[in-house]
Amino acid sequence: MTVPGAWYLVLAAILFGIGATGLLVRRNVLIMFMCVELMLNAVSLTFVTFARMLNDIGGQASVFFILVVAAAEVVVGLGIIVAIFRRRPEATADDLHMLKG
Amino acid sequence: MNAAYIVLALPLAGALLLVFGGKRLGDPLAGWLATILSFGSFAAVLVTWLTLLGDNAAGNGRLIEKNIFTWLPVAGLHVNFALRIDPLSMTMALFVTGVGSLIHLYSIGYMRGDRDYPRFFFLLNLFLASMIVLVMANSYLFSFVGWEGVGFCSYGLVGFWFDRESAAVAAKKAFVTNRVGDFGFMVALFLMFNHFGSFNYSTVLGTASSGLLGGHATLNGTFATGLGLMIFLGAAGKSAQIPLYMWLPDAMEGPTPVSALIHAATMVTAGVYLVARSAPILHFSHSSQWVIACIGAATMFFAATIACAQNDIKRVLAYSTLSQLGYMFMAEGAGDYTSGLYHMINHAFFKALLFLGAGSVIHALHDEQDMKKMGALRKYLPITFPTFIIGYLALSGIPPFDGFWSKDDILASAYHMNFFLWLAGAVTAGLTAYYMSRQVALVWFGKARWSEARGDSAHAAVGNDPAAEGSTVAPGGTGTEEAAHAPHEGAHGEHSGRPHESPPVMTLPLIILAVLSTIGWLINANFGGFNHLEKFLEPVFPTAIAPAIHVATNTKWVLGIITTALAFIGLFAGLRTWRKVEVPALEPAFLAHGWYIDEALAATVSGPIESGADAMAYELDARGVDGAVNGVASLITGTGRQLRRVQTGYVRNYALGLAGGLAVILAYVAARVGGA
Amino acid sequence: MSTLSFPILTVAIFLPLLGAAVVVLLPQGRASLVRPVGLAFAVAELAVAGTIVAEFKAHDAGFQFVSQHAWLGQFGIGWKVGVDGISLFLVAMTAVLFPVAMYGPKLVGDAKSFMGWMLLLEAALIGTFLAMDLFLFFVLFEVTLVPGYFLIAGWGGFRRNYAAMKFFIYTFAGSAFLFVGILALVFLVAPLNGGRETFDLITLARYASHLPTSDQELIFAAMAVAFAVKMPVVPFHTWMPDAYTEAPTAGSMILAGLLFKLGTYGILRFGVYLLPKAAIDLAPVLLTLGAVGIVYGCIVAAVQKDLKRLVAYGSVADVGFIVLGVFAFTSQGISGSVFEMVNHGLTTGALFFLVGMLLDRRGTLRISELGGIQKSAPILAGVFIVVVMAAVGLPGLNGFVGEFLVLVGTFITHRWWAVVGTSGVILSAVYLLWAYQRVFQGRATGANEHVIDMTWREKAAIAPLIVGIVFLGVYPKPLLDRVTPAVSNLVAHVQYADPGFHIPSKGVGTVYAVPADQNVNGGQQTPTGVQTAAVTPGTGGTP
Repeated sequence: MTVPGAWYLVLAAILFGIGATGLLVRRNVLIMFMCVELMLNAVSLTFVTFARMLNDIGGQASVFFILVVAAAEVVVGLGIIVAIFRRRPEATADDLHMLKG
Repeated sequence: MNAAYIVLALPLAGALLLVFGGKRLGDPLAGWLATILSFGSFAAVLVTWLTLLGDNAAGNGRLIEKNIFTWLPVAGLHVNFALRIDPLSMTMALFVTGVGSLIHLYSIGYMRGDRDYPRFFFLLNLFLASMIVLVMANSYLFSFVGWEGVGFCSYGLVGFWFDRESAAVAAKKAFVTNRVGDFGFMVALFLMFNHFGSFNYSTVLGTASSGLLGGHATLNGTFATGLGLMIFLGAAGKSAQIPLYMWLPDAMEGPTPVSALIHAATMVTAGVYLVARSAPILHFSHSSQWVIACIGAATMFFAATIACAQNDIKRVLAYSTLSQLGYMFMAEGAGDYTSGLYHMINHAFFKALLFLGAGSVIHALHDEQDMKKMGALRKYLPITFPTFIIGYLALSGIPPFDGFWSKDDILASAYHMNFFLWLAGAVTAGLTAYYMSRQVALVWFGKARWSEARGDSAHAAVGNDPAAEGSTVAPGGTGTEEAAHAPHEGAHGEHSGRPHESPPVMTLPLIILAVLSTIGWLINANFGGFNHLEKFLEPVFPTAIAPAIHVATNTKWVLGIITTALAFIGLFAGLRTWRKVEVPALEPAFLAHGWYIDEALAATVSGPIESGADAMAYELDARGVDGAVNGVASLITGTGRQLRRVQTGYVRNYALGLAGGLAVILAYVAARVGGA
Repeated sequence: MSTLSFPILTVAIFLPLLGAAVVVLLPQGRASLVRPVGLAFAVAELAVAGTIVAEFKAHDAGFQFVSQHAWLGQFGIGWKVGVDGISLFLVAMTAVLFPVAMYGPKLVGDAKSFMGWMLLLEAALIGTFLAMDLFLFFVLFEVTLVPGYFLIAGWGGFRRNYAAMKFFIYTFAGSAFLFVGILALVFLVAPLNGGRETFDLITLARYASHLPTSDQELIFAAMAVAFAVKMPVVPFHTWMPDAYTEAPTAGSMILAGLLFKLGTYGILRFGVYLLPKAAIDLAPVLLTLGAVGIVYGCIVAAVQKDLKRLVAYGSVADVGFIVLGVFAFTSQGISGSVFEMVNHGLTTGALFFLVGMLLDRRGTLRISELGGIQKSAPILAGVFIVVVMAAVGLPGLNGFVGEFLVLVGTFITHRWWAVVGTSGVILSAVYLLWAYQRVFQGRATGANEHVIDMTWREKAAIAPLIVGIVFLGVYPKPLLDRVTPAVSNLVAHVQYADPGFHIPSKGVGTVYAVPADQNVNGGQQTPTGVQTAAVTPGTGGTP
């Protein structure tokens, strides 16, 4: 039996929703970061699903780009987060408002 | 004829030499250089004049132009600088350089020991050069160059003792008031260029008089009135007529030779010259002639009343100069240019004489100018006294001295124009005799009031080393003439309290001027064919321009006798009142303060002008205009400051914004899709 | 067209630029070389300018020494430079004023970057006056702002940052209008020019008058705003007193003497020449601003408490005269304006120099704290009064020639504006002589008693300016001979563009010349040597 394509899309939507909500409500920078990853993966899943459904390889190609971007993001993002936690172990996202105008 | 160039070149060269090498030449030498060049210029004028007289046979109307160079070569406006040699310019040049040279000579002694001796003679020579340009120029524009040049020299010389506040203010006032007149002169120049396409006397006056000679009008009356009045505004500024007269009495802050040269004999008569020059234009405008005559008459009377109540020896003479200039303008308004010019020449002689005499007195009394602190000086100044008396009689219009003749002519012409003009002139003649008698009585007769007045300072001077006193050139705030001016230790060896006669360089000009004042009637006495000036000036003022004024001989006699009687009455009244031992105080404050006009102006006009300008600078400019500019800037920064609040720095806010934006876009897309 | 075989104008632009590079690259250890080397380049530039003036053909109305090189050709932009009677003396004056400003005033601070900025500014200014390509003009026009900003901000007075920022932003905002105007003109003209865009001045002038009047007026208005800010005309002037006052002495001399000529020169060369019809239509506005500026500038100057601000406000009045003359559209008026631009450079340059000397000596320019300085510094006072008299417009000095020509020219076409402008002769005397009286005359007290007189270096530096002031006043013919043909050409161009615009013939066409040294018969004078202002009516410019 094959799982209908729509289910994958629903799953992706749920994952994206969890990620977006998490990003908005959590204060912990690390968790917010994981939420971003979750959203990226949700988008990747959508792409793959559509590639399969529409028989278009383009979607899968896009996913590779997303993976690369995500990897790069992880490297830079984690680096920043580690640097922040080194200086202020207790920091939440709200404590980091040095960009206030 | 090439001597004409030398006339101008010599004083100009003198000014150049003195500005660069004056310091090196030093005290008497700089003065002698200037004086010699000035006399050289006078000699050159004489040569030119004689050549002009000899040139009569050529039948060219006695007019020669000597080109100098092209000044402005703009398309359509081509101005050549040239010297115009004609009877009028020669008449002016002769007495300007003549009297000017005598005053140069006098100044050598008078300015002795002054810290800025070379600067004085630099300005004096520059003045002479400018004055020559003024009277010998071939065009209104070139005359204007000289006109402004003398204005500048007057500024420099009135403010010569610049560390005295009053002198500095007077110099500025003189220049600015003259500039008001120059405004008129410049507008006249524009009108002239617009109408005639030229500034040349030959073109402008030639065009105007060509119609006269042909018997038809070439100038529109309204235009002629506008042009005439603008020219007269210029003339009124330079010649200190109402309402631009106020600078002249204040200009007495300058050294006395300056007052004699610039503010009596020459510069102030430039306006009279200009109006005479413009006779063909004025002929077309009866109304401007009336204006000139009436303003002349008003100034004449007004200034004479003030002169009756002045205590400063030089201010009396200054107001008298105003009054006499008024006579000249009245004559010109009446169309009798020759008499106006004749009076100008005579006035140059006797007024220069009086000023120089006054300078001699001031010198003798160690810079005292208050007549109430003089008296009985006749014994101490044996040369100055008789020459001063001659000047006094000439100014008072006592025959046979020269002032009588010209004043008589003027009054006859005024009578021809209007009875009241004559009446004002005759009354003024009486006033003139009165205030001059007052001056003579206070200065030369009566009791010596100077010994007690000057006692202590004179004693102080005896003990002091003259050189030491000479070096302390501290300005005196009291308004006495030469406080900033070192005592003339070179001119007189011992310093006693006694008044002393001036050195020969100063008395010689007095003697020459006294002789000239006595024989001035030889120039243009209206009997026995002595009317040389009138005949000489005939080509400049042909009857078409200045119709001969016919006053019956009997009437002339009657008028002359009445005026002379008035003069004698004034004379005796003055002498009787003021020769008393106890000096009376008969100066109405109203007259002493010059009808309070200066004060009234200061109170009513200067205040509002000053606060208006302040408001303009600090309210309108700083707050209004610049405020608007800075307002735009602060509007932008203010907007930025408000917008800055959006940038909270909280990631969640940004994320919310992101989500919100996404929702809006989605909603929009959904709506579009749904709508389709 | 040019008697010189090499492109002297391009050399004139690049020589100071090279100088700037050399000065900046001098090794740090050789600081003493900076001023001599910088000055040497400025003097060399003066020699180049002198050659241009000497080789310039006096009665040629068109552009001379034109040199053209390909540069960004695909956009219709070229490197095209040329000089005519209008720009010739502005170039010459630039070349004179820079060495004076670099040599004369006392310099504090970093000499190397100062010299570098000055030479860069000189290159940009010379280039602006020579440019015959609108893009080149605009680029150089903007480039002048940069050194101007750094000169004020780096070496200026107490409020230098405020002044420099205001100067930069204000004039830069004006330039935005200029840029829009230029682009609009280029793109609107392109269809007329066979669909090819060009920034070439002559080509644009040929076609611009065929544009719809409303387009012309809009473009002209945009340009006028930019130039009016630069000049500056009332009410766009308020950056100027701040900038001039806060700038260092040399900076004020250059800013006041030269930089704002860009505005007056620009409106004449680009505004009036390119869009004569619009210029005539909008002339009343500008004439009014000019006349108001004369009176306003003098009055506001009179009550200033700081001597340098007073001089700065005086410039507003001078600009008024220049604007008046330009928009009179008569040969006399425009020649007078060009003359007045040169005058103002000399006079204001000298005035700021002298004021700078006072500042060096007294440490303040508050008029109330100065007084009686003539006693201890007679030569300084003497030179000052000469310059003041030139500014007041005393005949025999340069100021009068310019003012007189402007007013005479304006009177022909716009009588009442000229009369209002003439009142400037009274007002300028009031504010300048009052200032002179308060600063130099009266009794000296305190520090005013011991003011050092001019040093030899200062005398040597100011001498060229004083010589220029006297020479141009006494004998303006050499300058006017070169200016007038170009101006007549411009006037003819304006008249051709708008046949409805008529200059009254009296006084314009006829010359009554008195032949030299000739006996003239009693005032019977006939007009001789009739000459008309109009050269061939045409689109002007180069043959």
